[in-house]
Amino acid sequence: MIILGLVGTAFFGNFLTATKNRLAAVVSLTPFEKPQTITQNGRQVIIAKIYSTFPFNYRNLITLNAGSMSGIGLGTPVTVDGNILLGKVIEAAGDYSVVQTIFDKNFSLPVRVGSHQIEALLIGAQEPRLTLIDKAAAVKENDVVYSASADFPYGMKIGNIAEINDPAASSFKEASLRLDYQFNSLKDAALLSDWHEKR
Amino acid sequence: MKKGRFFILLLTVVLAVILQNTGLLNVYGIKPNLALASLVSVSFFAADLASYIFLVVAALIGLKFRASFEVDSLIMAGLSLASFVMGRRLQWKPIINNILLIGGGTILFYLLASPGFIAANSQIVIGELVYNVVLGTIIFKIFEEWSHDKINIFHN
Repeated sequence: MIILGLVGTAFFGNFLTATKNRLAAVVSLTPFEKPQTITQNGRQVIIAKIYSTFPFNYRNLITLNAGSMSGIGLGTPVTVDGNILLGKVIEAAGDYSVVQTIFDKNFSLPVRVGSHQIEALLIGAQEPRLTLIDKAAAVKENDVVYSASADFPYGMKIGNIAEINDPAASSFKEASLRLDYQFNSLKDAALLSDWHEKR
Repeated sequence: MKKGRFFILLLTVVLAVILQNTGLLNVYGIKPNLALASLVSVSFFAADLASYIFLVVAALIGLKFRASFEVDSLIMAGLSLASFVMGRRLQWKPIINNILLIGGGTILFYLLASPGFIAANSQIVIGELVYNVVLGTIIFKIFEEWSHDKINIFHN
């Protein structure tokens, strides 16, 4: 019985090895898509794929296929194309990260508007808006809105003023934003991975 | 027959979850809660609680956004199971029950997940409610036609 068992094990082992060898001859592994690092003009960005968007309306978060293994950390600025601010990393796992976008209800950011550098506060929402604009400030439609927070590089473009609202009952003006991209059609994002190191 | 029906229900739920994750149905910034609408609608056609729980678990796996625990999953599970029970107890026509459960489920979801969102974004919540009810009613009618006989929920 023992001999029979040993012979059977050897035969089965040879059978498995032969199967494995046959498979090895057939299989050809293509490398997984990895986040790409681009360095230009002394700046470095990591281009990551957008995995998914938060499935419900009350948050506006996205997950990217780049995490701490790619040098992504908490607070890393996330952009559309390396220049237009999209949000920041709020959770970084090994191979993925969660990004809070400017469309999230919990997102807010000090910004400046136009060539006069008028101060305002960006409030995150499905349609982000600017609040706390001085009544006397000369804000015009199409003025550029850019970041003025220490969390992000100064002067990163967010969008342009679309419509100005000046209610008589309020002490401040408000404005809506026009963006240069369609959020729903974004497939990639560019992360400023070296921003915190430089700071 | 029962197996065939179960796989079609499973396929519907999985398809709904995939669509919800893509944002393809996003209209004017409003994303429907297609997973909730489909789970409530198929609850009328599930053979028993065990097979329905399987559908709910499949939906929750598909909706998982990150590795950590998400309170949304717990709320979705609770609302789905409640709709399974309530759908069989409410005294109106099944299609009316379906509409009421989807509408109530949408509001309850936000009340439990993010109460402040309702006050600050009432237009989005109302828009989503209408969207969910429309999609849920379409799913319900398709299954009602497909099952040929009118549903007698008390015989399930």
